[in-house]
Amino acid sequence: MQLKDKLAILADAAKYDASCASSGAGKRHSLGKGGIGSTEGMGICHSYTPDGRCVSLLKILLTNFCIYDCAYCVNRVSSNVPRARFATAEVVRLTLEFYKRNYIEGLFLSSGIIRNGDYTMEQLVEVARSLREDHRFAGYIHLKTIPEASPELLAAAGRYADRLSINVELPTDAGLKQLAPQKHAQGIRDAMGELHTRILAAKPTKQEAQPKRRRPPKFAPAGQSTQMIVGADAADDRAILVSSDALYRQFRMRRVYYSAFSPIPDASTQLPLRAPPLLREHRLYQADWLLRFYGFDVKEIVDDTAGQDGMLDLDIDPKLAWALRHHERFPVDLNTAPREMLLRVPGLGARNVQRIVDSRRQGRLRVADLARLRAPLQKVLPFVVLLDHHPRQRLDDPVRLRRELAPAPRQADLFG
Amino acid sequence: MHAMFRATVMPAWDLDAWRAQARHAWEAELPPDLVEWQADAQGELLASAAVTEQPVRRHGLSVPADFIAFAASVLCHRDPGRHALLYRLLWRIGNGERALLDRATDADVHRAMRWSQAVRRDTHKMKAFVRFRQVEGEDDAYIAWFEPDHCIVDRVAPFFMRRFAGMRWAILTPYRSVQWDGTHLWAGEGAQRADAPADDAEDALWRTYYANIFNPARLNTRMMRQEMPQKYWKHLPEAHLLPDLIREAGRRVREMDEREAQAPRRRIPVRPRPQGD
Repeated sequence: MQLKDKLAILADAAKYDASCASSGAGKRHSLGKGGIGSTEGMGICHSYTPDGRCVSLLKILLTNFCIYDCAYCVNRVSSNVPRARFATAEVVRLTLEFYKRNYIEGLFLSSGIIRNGDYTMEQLVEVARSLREDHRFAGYIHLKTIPEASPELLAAAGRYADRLSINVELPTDAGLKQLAPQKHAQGIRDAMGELHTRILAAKPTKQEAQPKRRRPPKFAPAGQSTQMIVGADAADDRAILVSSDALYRQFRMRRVYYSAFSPIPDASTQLPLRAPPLLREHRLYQADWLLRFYGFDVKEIVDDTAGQDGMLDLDIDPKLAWALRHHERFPVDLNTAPREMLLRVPGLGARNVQRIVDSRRQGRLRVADLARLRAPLQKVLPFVVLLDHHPRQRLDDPVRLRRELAPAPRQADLFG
Repeated sequence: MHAMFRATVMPAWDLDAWRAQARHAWEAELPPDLVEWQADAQGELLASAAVTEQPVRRHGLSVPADFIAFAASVLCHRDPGRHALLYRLLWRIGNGERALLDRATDADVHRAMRWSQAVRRDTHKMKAFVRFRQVEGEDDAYIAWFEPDHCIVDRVAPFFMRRFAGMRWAILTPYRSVQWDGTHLWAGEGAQRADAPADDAEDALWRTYYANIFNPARLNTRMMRQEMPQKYWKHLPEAHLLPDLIREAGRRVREMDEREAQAPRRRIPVRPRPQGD
């Protein structure tokens, strides 16, 4: 089979992994080292496909042969998709040649399970080793990690890769049992715990970070991430967010990716007939941000006591939904309120909150100041007080306010 | 306005050049509305006097370090008013408004911040969308053609040097070009599109990857256009595929939806579970 045909099959097989992040690896360059590649902390998207998703890494499978039979997966053993397998040298060649043309930031390599976990992991690690040692490649490498792989292979993977990931696959253990009978939730968590321990141990302490001090051996400096599939099993948004929250707390995940299960060629009869709306995935990401950067608890985002059915609203974002449920806590005076409360104002992002805190030290803020920060005034103004603005009675009728702020229904085909 | 003093910044995006003129003007106590800023030497013909020839009336203006970094980015903006705006900011900082840059809501600061953001975005897009094409018959030599919105080539070049240290490469743009020979970085005059190779043999594989990593079930061209504006498409070999990929997406998804579940055609023998699992 030609390289081009393999690439077509093994890129197609990799596209259901949402992550394409190339950030967090710290600073590294190729000056005076005889190779190519650099990472400077911030990821770069080198292209966008018509699905609006960023293309940062060469995201491929080493092979889409797989001995597992996970119902949601296009590569499950019982699927009739065409199969292919790359040789190590072919992946190395594609990575280097793509990188030299500035198409990509690096490689995200994953694989179907062939023979067993260790054998598969060994193949993945060998690609990373060859890139780093044979070719002095200093670009970004993300390796998918096989939960049951041996500790020696994990150590090697962490030495060569910037990021490692193990997919939790489904939000609940019951969902995993039902749709991925050969995978084990406990085994996945154990492996995440193992990665977490090793990543922590490799972080230089303040003293070790001094020049000339001996540093611990490198291990996945960009940390670990994971992905769960949304809408393939019955888990509601609350179950998903509870699960993410635990992953962030227990394993310090850099990211939990949510992948709305989407129609795949040759789908299993076990899957629901309809794909979930992509908007659901979008709302989950917004809620995930609220958990990590805005000081919200899961219980506040999906609130039992407020008659929510375990699902996020689709028509308005979760922060606005929270504010409408708690309208008695508004308006917030932007000139005096503490930062924690500014972060809870609908329409104000973390960056604008910082700008407001900086600016108000210099003088009292008015509506025109807020407009200059390009905050969405229509959304913000009902919830805030400024020197020349007060929302008056608008907050007294949250039902009406919600109607005013919810966008008109959009063309359905945009979100499937 | 009359009795203007002239400050010449060459090249127009250069921090040191602007800084030297600004220092002269400050030390001569020339208020912003008396200084006319220009980016080339044609004004030499005018009768106005150069700020560099004015008597020094005071010394020692120290500005916050973040102002210098900020000025460096604003100077890369194409707007002819950037030199004057920066001098106005400098004047105000020097006259007691030390924390001026924290006031994102001030009209001058706001405008400068918008320019700085435009430069940052342009810089980021250049790092993303430059495409190197291999020079035929040479080993590991590459040339890219790019058209940035602002004067950012000098600012971005060190990034490409750190990244592609082991290659020889050049980036050509209409106003300036930069070249790395493996040891030194050179900057020079602008060039033309025809000076760079039109394509690269690797483009075919890249297009294969691009077409196959796209998920037709998630078509969202609004988002794609927002992040990858059409003005960049001419630089991107993969962009030729866009019309077809977009047109075909609906049909591909319908076919997946309507397809009846298929019985597995191949059988992989069930293997014993790996040990310790």
